[in-house]
Amino acid sequence: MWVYSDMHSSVIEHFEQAEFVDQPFRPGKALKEIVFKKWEYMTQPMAIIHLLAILPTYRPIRLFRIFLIFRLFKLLRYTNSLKQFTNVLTEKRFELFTLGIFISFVIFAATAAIYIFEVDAKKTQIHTLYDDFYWSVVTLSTVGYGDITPQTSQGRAVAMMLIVVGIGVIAFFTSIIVSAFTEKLPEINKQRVFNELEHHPQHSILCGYGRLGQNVAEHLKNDNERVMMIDNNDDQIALAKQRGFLALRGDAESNELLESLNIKQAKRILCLTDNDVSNVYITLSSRQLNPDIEIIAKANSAQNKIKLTRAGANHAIAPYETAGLIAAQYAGQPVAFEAFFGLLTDDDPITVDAMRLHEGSDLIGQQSGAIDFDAHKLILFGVATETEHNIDSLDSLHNSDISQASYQMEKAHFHFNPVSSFPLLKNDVLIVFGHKYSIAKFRENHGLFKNR
Amino acid sequence: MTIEANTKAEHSQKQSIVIFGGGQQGMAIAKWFGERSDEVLIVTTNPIEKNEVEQEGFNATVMEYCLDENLQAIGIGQWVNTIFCMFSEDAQNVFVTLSARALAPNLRILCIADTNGSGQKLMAAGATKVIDPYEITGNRISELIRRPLMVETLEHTILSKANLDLSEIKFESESSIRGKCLNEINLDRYNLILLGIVDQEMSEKLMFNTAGLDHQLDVNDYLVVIGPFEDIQLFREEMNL
Repeated sequence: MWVYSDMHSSVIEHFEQAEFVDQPFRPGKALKEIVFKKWEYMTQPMAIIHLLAILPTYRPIRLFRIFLIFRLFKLLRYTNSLKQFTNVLTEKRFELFTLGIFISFVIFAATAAIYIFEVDAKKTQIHTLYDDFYWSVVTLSTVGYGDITPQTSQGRAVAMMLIVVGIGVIAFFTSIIVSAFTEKLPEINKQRVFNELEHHPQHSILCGYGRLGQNVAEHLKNDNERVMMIDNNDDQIALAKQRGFLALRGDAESNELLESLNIKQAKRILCLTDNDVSNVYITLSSRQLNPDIEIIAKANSAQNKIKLTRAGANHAIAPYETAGLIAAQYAGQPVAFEAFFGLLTDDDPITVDAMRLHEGSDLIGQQSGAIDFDAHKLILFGVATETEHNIDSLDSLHNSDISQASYQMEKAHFHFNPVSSFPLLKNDVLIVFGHKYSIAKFRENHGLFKNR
Repeated sequence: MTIEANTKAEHSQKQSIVIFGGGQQGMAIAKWFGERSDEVLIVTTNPIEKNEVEQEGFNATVMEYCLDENLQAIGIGQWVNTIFCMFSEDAQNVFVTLSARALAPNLRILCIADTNGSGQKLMAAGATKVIDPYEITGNRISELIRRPLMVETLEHTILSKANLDLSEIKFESESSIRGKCLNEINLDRYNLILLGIVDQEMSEKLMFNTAGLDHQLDVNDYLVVIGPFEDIQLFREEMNL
């Protein structure tokens, strides 16, 4: 049980968090989390089966022995494979049928021949046709127990022929099974992937496992997102599989493939191929198949960004343009940029976060100056509002010599460093800099929860 | 007509920023400089590309970058202070970096790395900073998934041409706020946010403003501020920075 989760890491994390926000450390909360994690493990079906299976080792209660059967339930996880195995065999039924007829004929002939030669011989071990039949099968299968052996020269000749034929039959039988599986293997794999995606929806589909795709996939993996790769290049797919991803060779432009990948229940699709025509096409078909999916598309040429957005992408990104812009800005302010991009990476505890004021937060209706960001060790970067009406109300509220900076975004307005009388409304978004613990504390104190 | 005569005739002004490569990245950089585009020269190997660049209104020249004389002719080692190596081939970028570094030890060289592992080669060749477009975009996409609103905000403010800049202010000895602590600096009069401070003697990492730290400002520290350009200028002037 202790392998499943570490108790001490929970305690340490809670303690650090409490210390950072100057609150007394309350062990109860950490304890609750630990107990919850353990309980979560204990109630898994597999864990219960394990427990029942080891109970019989407690000798005094012999009744528990019946639970030994539970060990067999562990085999349940193989039922799917069994089904696939029979499927493969039925695919090859013609070959197997032919082989079966051939075997019956050989066995029939051998049984008859050996009966004729051996039944009257001295020291014979064969008395009935059934003995003959048994001997033929044992010999043909190359098992050859040796409990019954032919005594006459004619009988031995039959045995030798039967052995040679037997080797051929075994080889033929093995090759049928093997070839059936090699033919079916890609399909089995595909089916497995499809099944998995069907049972666990909310996955991400990533088209194009090129350099950008690889990079994004690693990030998604670190965030524990389930990612499905599609690429039409075998090498890239092999690479993806080697790195432990679900991957499939195929053409992402085909609706059939996207549907098999359960796109209707997918969380997002990333179109990152090196071809803008493909990206636009995939974007368009994904949007049709699932109107709610989040689509992120790569524009290899910056001018195609607008086309991707028009085709239905939520976000279009032009890597080369972005890199150029960053180079230009870096040139002017190397130290500031290095520091700022440090904040945006994950390993830095100081970070930027956006918090939406959902219904129920006590910040709605307040003025931005009334919130004590200093006490939370946070810096307010700005407020994003959905409508412009905040600005209108501002003019009447405030006449300051500080110019207010407001920036137009796609669906919102951003107010940089708002004045202290800036009114906060529902669905406004606060963007703050701060330590991740401070941000968590701030969310908790003001009823700002993620994803509500 | 020699190359030297060619460049002289076309560009009487001496550009301090040179961009090698007129592709997407090169153009993105050139456009970013906007009003200062007179200071930018784009070097390309392709006459057609040169025409395209000129149609966009930028200075451009076609030249053989393999020859040191040509690099010197456009001012590397003299009046150029920053070059961007934005050729699509890594080998070209490495070559330019290496030649330019030999001519000008203090030049700021920014490169783009296209394939895995070329970043190290470019650094070895003497680049100041290597930018991997795939890594940057990969980060951007994963952030977009995690915190879409934040990325959008940053993209429309700091990372765009909007009048909201991220700026570093180097601390010189004669400023009026020397020896003060970080939390003693009063920014109320400016529409600015002081994000923190970078003390290069300690590390390249940002010391965050509110982390309750009482770092005394010292020569060669950098203040990292965000704000509209005019406010940053005003702050600089009034603080003698």
